Amino acid sequence: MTEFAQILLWGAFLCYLLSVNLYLLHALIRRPFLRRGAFALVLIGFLLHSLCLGLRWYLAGYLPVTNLFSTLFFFSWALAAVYLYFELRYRIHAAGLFVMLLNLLLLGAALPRDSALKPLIPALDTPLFTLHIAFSFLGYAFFAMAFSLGVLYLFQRRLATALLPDLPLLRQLNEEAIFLGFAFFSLCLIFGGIWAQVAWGYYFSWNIKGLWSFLVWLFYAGMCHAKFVRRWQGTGYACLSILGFALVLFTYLGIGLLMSSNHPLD
Amino acid sequence: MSRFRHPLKDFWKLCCSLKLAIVLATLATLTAFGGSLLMPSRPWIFADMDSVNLGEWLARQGRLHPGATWWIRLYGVLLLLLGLNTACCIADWLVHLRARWRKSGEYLIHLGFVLLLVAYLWGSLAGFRVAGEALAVGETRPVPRLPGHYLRLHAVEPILGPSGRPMDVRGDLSLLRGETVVAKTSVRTNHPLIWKGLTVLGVSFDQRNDGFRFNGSLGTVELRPGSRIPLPDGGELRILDYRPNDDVRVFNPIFFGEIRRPGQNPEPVRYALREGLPPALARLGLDLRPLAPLQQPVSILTVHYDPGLPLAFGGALAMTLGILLAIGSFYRKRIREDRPLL
Repeated sequence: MTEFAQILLWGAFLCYLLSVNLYLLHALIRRPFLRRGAFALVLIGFLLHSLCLGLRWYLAGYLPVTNLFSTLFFFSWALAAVYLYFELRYRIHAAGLFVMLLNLLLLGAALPRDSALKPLIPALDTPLFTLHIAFSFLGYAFFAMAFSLGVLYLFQRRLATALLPDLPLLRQLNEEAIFLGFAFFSLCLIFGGIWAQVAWGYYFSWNIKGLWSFLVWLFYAGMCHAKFVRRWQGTGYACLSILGFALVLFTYLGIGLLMSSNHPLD
Repeated sequence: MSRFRHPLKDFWKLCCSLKLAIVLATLATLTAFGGSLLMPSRPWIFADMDSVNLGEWLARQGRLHPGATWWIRLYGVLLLLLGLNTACCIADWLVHLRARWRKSGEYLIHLGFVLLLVAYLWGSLAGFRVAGEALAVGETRPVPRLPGHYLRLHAVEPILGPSGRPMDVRGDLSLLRGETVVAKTSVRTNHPLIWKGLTVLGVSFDQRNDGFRFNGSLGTVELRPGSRIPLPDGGELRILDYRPNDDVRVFNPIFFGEIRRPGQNPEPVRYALREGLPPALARLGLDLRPLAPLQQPVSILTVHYDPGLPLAFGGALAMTLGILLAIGSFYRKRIREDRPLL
């Protein structure tokens, strides 16, 4: 069973790898079949990825997002899902290159790590854990999408290429990604807070992870307001999206790997 | 009159200002960003922040280490100002509710944020946290720092994993207000006893020496506080207290009790096991040879009291509803092809 999960995992990775190459080729020689092929590969990759996640969930008996491998794996799955949402809804086409490259990096970083499923410790044996991490990585995925769209906005502003969506659409998509990311991340903090209350007896921890998660929330709350300020629209918003994702990465990886916290990534 | 109203209107506009919210959120983020970098490098100051509430912690560590903790006060002030700004926004929205009701979701999120801030402030100033409360099975003890409230432990048992590894500990616990049981639950990981602002968590279990088993002329008897032993002369030995250690020596078990006989005043008895049977019992020809200490299972509890907790749950509920409404409103606008101004 676990070997089959490994096959699905590698299958998904290869599909994403091929799709990134096709997107790259499409950026160079601009043939529609390349873009369509790349998208089809993302769809197949996401299907394999979802099957792998479902199988691991079934084998473990809980949503297996407890260590560095599984969080990178789940983050990558959530990012692929968010990309598909934007592609199917807005046909962003070549914009997929950057997002899928990021997704490939996440899954590629997971591959060499320990994928063994371990018994769930009682502290994590609660539906609040599932809700907390699912909303957390959905939020992170939308923030990663906003980061990608922010970078593309800056590229498009400089290059004005027909390959990418136009600036107003990129701006609109960026704002949507930030809003949805903020909404999901808020739910993550709410369920995390309720879980902390029943597990530790207080809903806010002054552990560095808790503090930085609130800072990430505050930052994106500020961004949800900044889009109404003319000076911050467009380029400023794109820059804030990039800065925000740096905060997200530090909160997720920097604190989890480099510091002692109550969310260790061992 | 009109000259007087303009500055007030301007002040109100400033209080509700979206730009002010962004400035305050930015300043708070930068303050906490800079300050939090001190946390990993000074664990002797910050490591126990969660063991007491913020008010108590600041009163102690803030006085001892003002240079490393000032940013928490500034962060708190900035968040409070942001909370005031948000509350003013909500008030302004309510005044214009008829024109702005479509933004109900967004303003419920604002309301949730304000409620959570107020709840946290309230809990930090009026709450408390006590760790390491040991409660033996059958024992009833007052809740620390909450007069009139008592905890009673009915049973405690470890939960073992398939390989026999201890995984958790379960304790059957009641909370009493006076003589009335107001809450009863089986406490284990992720299943605390929560009643209003009080949260009681079972964190571990232990054993406590609460008496001794004896052999001798009376057969095998167990003595612990509350024990009553009939004596050969028609009297009764009542054990009132037991101490496993005295002030000087560790493990110097001593019983305190009295002998009661009909029509006589109780005769006090002090039986230190190291010193042998006291004269009052030896006179009766009793033979009490200590066999083994009696161990009573004990649950180690953590007691947290946060009077703002119900308000915080209200805030979380308002925020969750607000998020769902805001997402719904977002997609409705998209269907109507409005700009997604949220």
